[in-house]
Amino acid sequence: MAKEKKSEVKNVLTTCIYCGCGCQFYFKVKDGKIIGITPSQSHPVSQGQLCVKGWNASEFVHHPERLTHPLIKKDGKFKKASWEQALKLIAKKFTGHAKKSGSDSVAFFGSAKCTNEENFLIMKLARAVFKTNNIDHCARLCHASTVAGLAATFGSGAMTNSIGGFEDCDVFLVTGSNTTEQHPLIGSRIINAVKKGATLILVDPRAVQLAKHAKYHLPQNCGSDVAWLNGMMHVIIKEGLEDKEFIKNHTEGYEELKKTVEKYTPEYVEKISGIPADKLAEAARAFAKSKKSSIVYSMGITQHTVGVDNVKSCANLSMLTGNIGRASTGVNPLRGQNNVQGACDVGALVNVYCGYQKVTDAAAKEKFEKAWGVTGISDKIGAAVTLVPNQALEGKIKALYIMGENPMVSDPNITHVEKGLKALDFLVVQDIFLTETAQLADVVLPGTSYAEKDGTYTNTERRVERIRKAIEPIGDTRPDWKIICDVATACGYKMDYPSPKEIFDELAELAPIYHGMDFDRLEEKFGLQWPCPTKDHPGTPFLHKDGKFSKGKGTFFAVEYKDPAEMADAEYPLTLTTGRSYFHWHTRTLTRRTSSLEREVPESYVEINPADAKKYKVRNGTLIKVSSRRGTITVRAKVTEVPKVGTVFIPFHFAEGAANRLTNDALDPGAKIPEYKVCAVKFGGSK
Amino acid sequence: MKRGKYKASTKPQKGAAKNEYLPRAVEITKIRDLSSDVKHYTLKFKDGKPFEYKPGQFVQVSIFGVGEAPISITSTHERGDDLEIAIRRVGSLTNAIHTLKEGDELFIRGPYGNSFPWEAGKGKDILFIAGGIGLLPLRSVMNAVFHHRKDYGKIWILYGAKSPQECVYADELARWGKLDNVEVLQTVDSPTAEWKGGVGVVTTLFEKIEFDPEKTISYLCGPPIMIKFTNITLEEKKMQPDNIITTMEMHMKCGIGKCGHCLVGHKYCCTDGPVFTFAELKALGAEE
Amino acid sequence: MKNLKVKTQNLVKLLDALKDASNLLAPQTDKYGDTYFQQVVDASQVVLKHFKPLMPAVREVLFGQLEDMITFKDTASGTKIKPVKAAKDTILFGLPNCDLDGILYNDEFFAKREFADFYYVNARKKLTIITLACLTPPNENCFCASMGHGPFAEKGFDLQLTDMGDGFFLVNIGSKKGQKIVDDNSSLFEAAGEADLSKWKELKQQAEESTTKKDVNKKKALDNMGRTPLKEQMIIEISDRCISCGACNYTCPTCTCFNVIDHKKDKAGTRKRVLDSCILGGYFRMAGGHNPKEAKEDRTRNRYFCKLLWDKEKLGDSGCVGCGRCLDACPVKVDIKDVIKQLSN
Repeated sequence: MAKEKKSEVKNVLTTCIYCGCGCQFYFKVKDGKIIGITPSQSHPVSQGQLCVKGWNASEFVHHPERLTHPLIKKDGKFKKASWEQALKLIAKKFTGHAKKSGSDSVAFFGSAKCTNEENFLIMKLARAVFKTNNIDHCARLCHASTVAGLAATFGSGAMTNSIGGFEDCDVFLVTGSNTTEQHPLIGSRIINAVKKGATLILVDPRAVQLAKHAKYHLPQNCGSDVAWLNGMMHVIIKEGLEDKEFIKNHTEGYEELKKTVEKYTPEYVEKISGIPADKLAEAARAFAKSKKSSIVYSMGITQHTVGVDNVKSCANLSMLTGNIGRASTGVNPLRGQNNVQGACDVGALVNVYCGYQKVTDAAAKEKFEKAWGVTGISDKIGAAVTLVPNQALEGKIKALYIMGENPMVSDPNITHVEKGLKALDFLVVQDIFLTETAQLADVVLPGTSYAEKDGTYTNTERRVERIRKAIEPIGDTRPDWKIICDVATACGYKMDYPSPKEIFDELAELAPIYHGMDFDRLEEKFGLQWPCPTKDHPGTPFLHKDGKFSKGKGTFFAVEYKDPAEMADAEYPLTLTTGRSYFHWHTRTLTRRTSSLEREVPESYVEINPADAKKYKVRNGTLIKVSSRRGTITVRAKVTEVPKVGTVFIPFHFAEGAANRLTNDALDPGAKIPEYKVCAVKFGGSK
Repeated sequence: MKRGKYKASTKPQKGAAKNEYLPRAVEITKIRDLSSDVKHYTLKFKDGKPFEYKPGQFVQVSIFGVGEAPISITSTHERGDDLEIAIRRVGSLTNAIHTLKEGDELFIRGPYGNSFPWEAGKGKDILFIAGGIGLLPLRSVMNAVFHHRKDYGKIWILYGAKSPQECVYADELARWGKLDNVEVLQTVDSPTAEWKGGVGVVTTLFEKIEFDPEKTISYLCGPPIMIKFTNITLEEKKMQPDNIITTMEMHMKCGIGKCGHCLVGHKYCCTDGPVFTFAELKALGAEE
Repeated sequence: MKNLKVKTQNLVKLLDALKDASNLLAPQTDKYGDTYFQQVVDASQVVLKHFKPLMPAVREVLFGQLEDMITFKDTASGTKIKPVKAAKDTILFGLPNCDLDGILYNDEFFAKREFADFYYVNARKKLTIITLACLTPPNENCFCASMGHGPFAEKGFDLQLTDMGDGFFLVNIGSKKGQKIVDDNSSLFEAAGEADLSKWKELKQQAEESTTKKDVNKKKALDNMGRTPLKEQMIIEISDRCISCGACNYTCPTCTCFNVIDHKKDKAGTRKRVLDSCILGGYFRMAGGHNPKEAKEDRTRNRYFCKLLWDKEKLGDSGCVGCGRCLDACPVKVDIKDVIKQLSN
């Protein structure tokens, strides 16, 4: 019998593209196509497990709608173009605008979906080639307030502890995090810990799945977080449950905090937050009495005009009770995207280089100028993602380069964003599918998916992990790092790296927190947790060990409660809060092309409490209009006990029935994060 | 320890297995609108080979690149070679089919499923009860029964829809209604000014007829809520669950008992059904 | 059953010969510490200790997570369709008995009922199975013997190997395919004596005892299940914990459900099937939106009925082979043993 040609089967370990948990799995590859996924059993986060998105994280890779070649728009229509044509046009436009209207007339968006190496390079492209700090990414929309708030209080703007420590916590305070849906393998650890006897305090306006496991589910009024956190601290101080030793030895600013929280009695707080006074006091006691209390939060804390205040209040509570600097404690902001931590770490932010070195610091500027062989790097803080539409409308920004982001779905008040993007002279979008934003572009560059390239992601617990190339790039696509190199080179700055390994080496050289890492070390185990300052440093599972904060002493910030920018009133009587669904990822670019996920939630919806449904005569399953002062959308009504009375919830994933047509683009004054979590809406069309 | 009982064999089947997933191309020879969102298609197999089926069976209909779905056959084989199906616009595939024109191509495989036991009802009275597009699958057995009209006693057709615009096969109902010993009664939820039938749910039509539960077979198809209440009424009128026959609609991907989606109790709607008596559905714990 | 034995170093030689003749998939441990089926390049790297992969062996070649079924192309004279070519000759080495029984279940399900599954049948014909008997449970979640499935196989394999602990593996020949492997490599094998056989029987008995969980009473559970409804409190408790990841389905050696999708670009494309999960709400939802199992509790209940009871009614035995993978892969540690235990009361 003639021998058949054998199939080539291989398994390639890589990191999941979806959330910040950073699970690792194997792509099973047969004859150049991915045919399956198996979770790694040895990996510290996945441990042989994945969420539904992880299990289905390969279908979109071979999806027929993948972009396969560059596109240039002519007369309003996209035409297939060569790389050479596209790069030439980009170089001409970007260098032209920079020359004519100044460096800050061009802007760049990095991507929390792309690798550290790619974000490092786009940061370098902005700063070294175009001499602008107009480089930002979607962290602006999720944890900008965490980065600012925790840097001010602790000295380091990241999750303090590790995912592995969660199963040993005694008390969880989870707020503004739908953990089982958005960080499933952290949510599962919380459920398992509760099963073993831990106490869960959930403060959330929605009865999310964790509410079934919570001893205290305290549904607060949206935007009242400073008030109830101050209220908890009031009870703790009044009852003498604070950790006096810790406060004395490791913190500053306590007296002022004490003075401020004095008026936040549980009864006073109840009026603002709607949380029953006695329940809040009980929860506060439970949190303070345990030495393994952990605060877990996410967008429910950060996406407010008082986002930074909220974060500082969480930090206050953890320092007050001495629940920081040890395993299974801490303040744990769960970073949303697979690499939003990394994109921040490597400096895809308006105010810092990689490793959080400030652009306003002359020494840092000199260091980077020297390393990159350029002069004249800007020391002026750049334009944040949320400010770009306005600056485009004002004519300040003429050309924008977006790598792997989709502001036409993700940003608040999309109608305004659309005007801003259309006001640009030139828009480049680099992505793997023709997103809503890419449709507005002048040039579209096809990147590769995560299965077709090497690099690193940094997960929410600061673990820098490898992704590995499993298949060849599809069509005429190029890895994003290669595209950035090509663009820089076309713009006259030769950028040439043989592979992401060398880019990482440059990053590690320049960023102290990554200094001890390299691809060989990352290969040994399942990555390293920063800070990792030297080659023999084992990485850092939890920060601020023994109360030794990154900045020396931890600082209490006395914070007063402030109302959200827009509250329900007679005309718009309901409070809208937005968020995500378990089955979709952000702007649905990947998950709508994954059959099992898209089938679960194929269209937008609004969650309405039965009492509100009755009051406003809304029938479950019907299409209804929801309006805010900024727009009107049509979505399907889902009558459910999940949201509290007076509050409605809409996931922001959908371009049709887009929650962000309604949301308020009011910003936190410091972090420039928008207030996605509170705005006023009504049922029916607007006038 | 008693061992697991799956039979062992390294040779599961002799000879090459037929690829049941491969459909045959058909040409759409005729399209007519049945209502605002239902179209009726007459199909002809391009390979010219015969296609035999029984009343109550269904086919898997494909447009490659869009998808595949189970669709009831509405024609009756005895009455000619043309295959007829009727399709309501509800999802991406059915939307795509509605954009096709006469002469266009579709793909069909099947027929699948069991069939209506229409011959067993010979000599009895027949009570058809349909709600909305529930009339589509019943049309095949209606055609069969009318084809053998003399074998049956009295025939009632009770038909309810949301509005007159949504009534399907109005012409055929009118034609049947004129036959001897046949009574066609219709009702809608929201009547128009010209509407001559009743108003209300289909069960209100029971007030207008009298049947002998001992010598009547009932065929029932419609939305779940209509099935539920009609069944309650029939049982009040002492119909035996054995004599109430329905055809079920479930999410279905393969049509051949493999994909698993259409499980009703431990039976597959596609191969064990789609036709079940209410006695069977009760035993499966799925009478609603 | 004819019995032989093979020295460990000769077994490596055998694998070396097999890898050249066919696609040979066998357990190997990678540098990160994970063990799973990999294509064999170097036979000395194959793990010769019994093991349980996270993904059941049936997923390797017979019924995978994502499979091409039909390719299609639009032409002037209509759409031309072509079935995707049959699988290639493959030898799976080192699977545990739970995986063999999983494959035997799939044989019944896909190949022997009405409308045999073309893709499964063709891949199955080209598959050779060499199992490695489990001397001890590969992990604490194993309970195969309680479900009547192992840990040694009695039939269905082509060859079964048992590590006798003295540098030899006992070889059971279960089919003509197995006999042919032995005949083609006869110099590597030697005859097994009575002493070997009685030692083997002893090992078998010990292994069965170690994978029997005393409190899991399959018969009683199934009898009760047919008579009384599942305990609602238990179903609610499981549903409250379940995070709908689908892993219990994806890793189950006897889960067979799939979805069918079309991928098309320009004028050509592929019809594929995707491994599906009945825990997901969309699994039952019909076009138009009606869902007969909208509540998670209904789907949880459905899963246990399907796995434990309905499979018995359809195929003669409960679908649970006691491998424990649904617990291995479950983020919230839902244990099917607890369900069976509660049902046995």
